[in-house]
Amino acid sequence: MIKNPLTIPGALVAAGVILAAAYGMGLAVDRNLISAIVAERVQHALMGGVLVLIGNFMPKTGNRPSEVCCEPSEAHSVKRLSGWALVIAGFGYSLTWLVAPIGVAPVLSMVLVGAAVVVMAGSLLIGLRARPARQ
Amino acid sequence: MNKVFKALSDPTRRRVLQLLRSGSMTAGELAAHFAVSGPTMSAHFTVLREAGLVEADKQGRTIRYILNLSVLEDALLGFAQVFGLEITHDAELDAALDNTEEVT
Repeated sequence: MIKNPLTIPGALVAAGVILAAAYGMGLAVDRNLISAIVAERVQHALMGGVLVLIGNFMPKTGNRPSEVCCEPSEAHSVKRLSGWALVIAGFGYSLTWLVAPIGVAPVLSMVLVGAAVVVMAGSLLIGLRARPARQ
Repeated sequence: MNKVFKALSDPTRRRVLQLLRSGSMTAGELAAHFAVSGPTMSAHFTVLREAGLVEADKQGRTIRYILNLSVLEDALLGFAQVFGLEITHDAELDAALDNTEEVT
């Protein structure tokens, strides 16, 4: 079962996986099992996976009227758009680090994440303009 | 995840989720879109709620339903709508209906 990284146990599991993978990659590089570049690529691909997980669960957080600033369905629309942006960016981030030339991957992956952040910020601004929650 | 697939396998429940995309709605407002009995709609809502696809917010005597889909569930809903994901016999709905009849 995939843990929701937007909860404390989920975040701890995600952090544990990233740290364990980093440690494992370090050991593998030390023993010349894989090159440092491969280790870097895998590590970044995992970080893209975390972005995908965060984006996936983003629309499921805080939908009750008491938990949001505006009408719940409008809040859900904002989070839905943000979630999709982050999932697509996360997939793109992972794919970029797995297949793009190593000289291009850092810039291209950050452009993808940056685009997702712009979409998220835009949808948040639209959401903040939405009418307040029903009393 | 099995509950999500079961919830998305029924066209009525998929239509409910589609309706909720335009905004939160009360159980009555949703039921008005379907030519099925109240207990049947209630059972559909129960399946959706148990799958975590909708949230129910009780306001006095009315229940307002709010969409609560993750991106993956959203994609699955779209996939089910395009390709159809129907099963011939929905045992969970039957069980829910049985429970409804026992209560009434």
